[in-house]
Amino acid sequence: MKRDEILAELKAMLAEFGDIAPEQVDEQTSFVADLGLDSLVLVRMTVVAEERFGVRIPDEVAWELHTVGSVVTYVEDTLVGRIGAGGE
Amino acid sequence: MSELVRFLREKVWLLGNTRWYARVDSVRGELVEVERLGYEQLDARARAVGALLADRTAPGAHVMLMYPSGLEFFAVFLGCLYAGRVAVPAPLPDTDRRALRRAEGIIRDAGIGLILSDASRRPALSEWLAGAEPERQVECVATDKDVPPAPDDWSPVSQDLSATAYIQYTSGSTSEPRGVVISHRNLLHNLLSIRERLVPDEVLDELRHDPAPTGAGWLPHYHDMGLVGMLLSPLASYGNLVFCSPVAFIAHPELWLRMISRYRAFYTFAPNFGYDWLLRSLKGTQLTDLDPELDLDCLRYALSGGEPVRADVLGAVARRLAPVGFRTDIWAPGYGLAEATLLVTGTRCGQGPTVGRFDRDALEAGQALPAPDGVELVASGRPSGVDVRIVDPVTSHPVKDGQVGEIWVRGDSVALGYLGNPRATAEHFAATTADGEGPYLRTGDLGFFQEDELYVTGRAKDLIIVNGRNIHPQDIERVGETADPATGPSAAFALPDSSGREHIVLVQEIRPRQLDGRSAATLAGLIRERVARDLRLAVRVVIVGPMSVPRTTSGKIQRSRAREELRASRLGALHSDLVASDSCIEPRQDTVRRDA
Repeated sequence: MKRDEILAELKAMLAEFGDIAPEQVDEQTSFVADLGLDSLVLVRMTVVAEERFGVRIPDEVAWELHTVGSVVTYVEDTLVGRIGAGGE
Repeated sequence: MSELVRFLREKVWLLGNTRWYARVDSVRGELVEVERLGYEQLDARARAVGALLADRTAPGAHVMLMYPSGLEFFAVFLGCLYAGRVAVPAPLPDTDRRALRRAEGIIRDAGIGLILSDASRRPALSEWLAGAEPERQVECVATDKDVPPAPDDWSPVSQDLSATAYIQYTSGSTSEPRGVVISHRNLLHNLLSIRERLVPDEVLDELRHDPAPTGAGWLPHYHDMGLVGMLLSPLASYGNLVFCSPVAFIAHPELWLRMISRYRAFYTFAPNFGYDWLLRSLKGTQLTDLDPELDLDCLRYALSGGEPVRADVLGAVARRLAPVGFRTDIWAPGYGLAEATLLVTGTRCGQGPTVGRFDRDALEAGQALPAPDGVELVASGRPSGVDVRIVDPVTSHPVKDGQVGEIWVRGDSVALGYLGNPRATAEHFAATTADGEGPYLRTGDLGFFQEDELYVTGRAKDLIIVNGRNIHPQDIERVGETADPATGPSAAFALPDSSGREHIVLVQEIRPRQLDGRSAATLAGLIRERVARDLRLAVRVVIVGPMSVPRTTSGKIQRSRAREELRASRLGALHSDLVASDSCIEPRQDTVRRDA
């Protein structure tokens, strides 16, 4: 999955679960400080992101992913790492 | 064994494995049952853990339970009761980032020497323990592997009803955990109250016969409502339970409806935010698209408690779910708190909710005056096995029906006190009315009685509750005050918007000389980011000048006065994140200068 595809999927999830218009979102956008998302939406997004991207996002990692860009990078790195390691 | 343990095990002997507990999860959008134990199987697991604890710990030892949502936790909790060891349930870090810091506080406060967990969590917990508590020897043991069955001749330890059953840590601020000491007598009394006061005899008779009706829930087991209301009540009332983890519910809210429908659940329970979250997440979804066979016709009791019950949420949920069989008369509002084990007042099955309208100005002045176009309040039902009084918090005089005062509670469900904190125990658990009656538990909540039903109107304490999280204003204020050299004292509180949803506001004083040319708006942005990062909370920041946050004569911050002054636009804000449409600010916006 390419970086722009991951970003597009995240924007779609923000629209679906947070009612956030995609044009309001870029990689610098912060989930809580900018979008004001509450803890319920964040927990839901984390679990659904794991399911849709097929990656594990441990809680201690999730807590540190404050911006859209940091999630994209994490998902991208994890997927690349998996391919490098010969798949799951 | 204690009378409580005998009471619980009686059901095991009577019903064997014909009654059960099951946990489900959402797997690719489908409900899947992931584990199930009959009463007898649960009892065997509890005995195994009980024998282990009797062997490895001293009688009355405090044992911390750190488990993911599931049946292992429940078996181990029962095992602690059987062995006369005091269970101390605590959350794992996946539900609360500050869980480990809180756990460190609990280990010190409760003198923990042993943590029980499962094999999947044990390595991480042991690693954390090695780093966090080098001066204290705390062992972590996994109970789901290699615990042999109890010897046939092992039986639960004999105990008096006054013995401590478990310690329920409540929402003390992060730095000061507060453990409520619950005795065997407290728990037995509250379980009996739930069974006898909420469930009429004819329904109880149905419960005794096959097929036994089932409860459905998703609450965390380390909270009073999840532990007593969700896990222990079915066993005490001859019922089955199907549940999922809180995270599974939050990620897949429709799982709650599927559970009720699939298992033909008779009752369910949640705080207001759970019902609201279900509603928010369903949005425009066609219910029959979720599952063409979705049918809630089986549901006869839906308890809402644990936080203020909102009439609009009850109405909206009932309307939204009506096409699949949800009836509005199954709503059962209740009121309770950990300091009274759980339930204080409740609505009987079949009775339906009472919603009244009261004059808003009179309410703020402490009088409940029925008014046809007034504010809607939901009654939390009648006292269940305890004596509930409304008392003037200043004079300690009991007040008449229809007058607002502090809610005081007395009875066998009221806990022994706060662990190792005689001062807080005396302050909260030993109140006497002006006419000399007592001791009463001071709940810190405000309310009134009308026609024998309790209406809870607010909190005397400053606690902020958002989505079931209890947030201490001082935790937010600390972040604000340490965010920058230019930030001084602050006051945090919740403010409802025009739709009634609460938002957190932080009124923050600045030291203008430390600003170094930055605007108040820049500083507000910095504070928002810090709070989001440290506490994962969205706050709206209002920047004010030095000495602008109201204080008492002794210099203590007055949060409720800061809130009133903000609503009346009297604070003289240098910057405000609030816009007129999203707050209850009175229309005197001219005094609020927005520089953003």
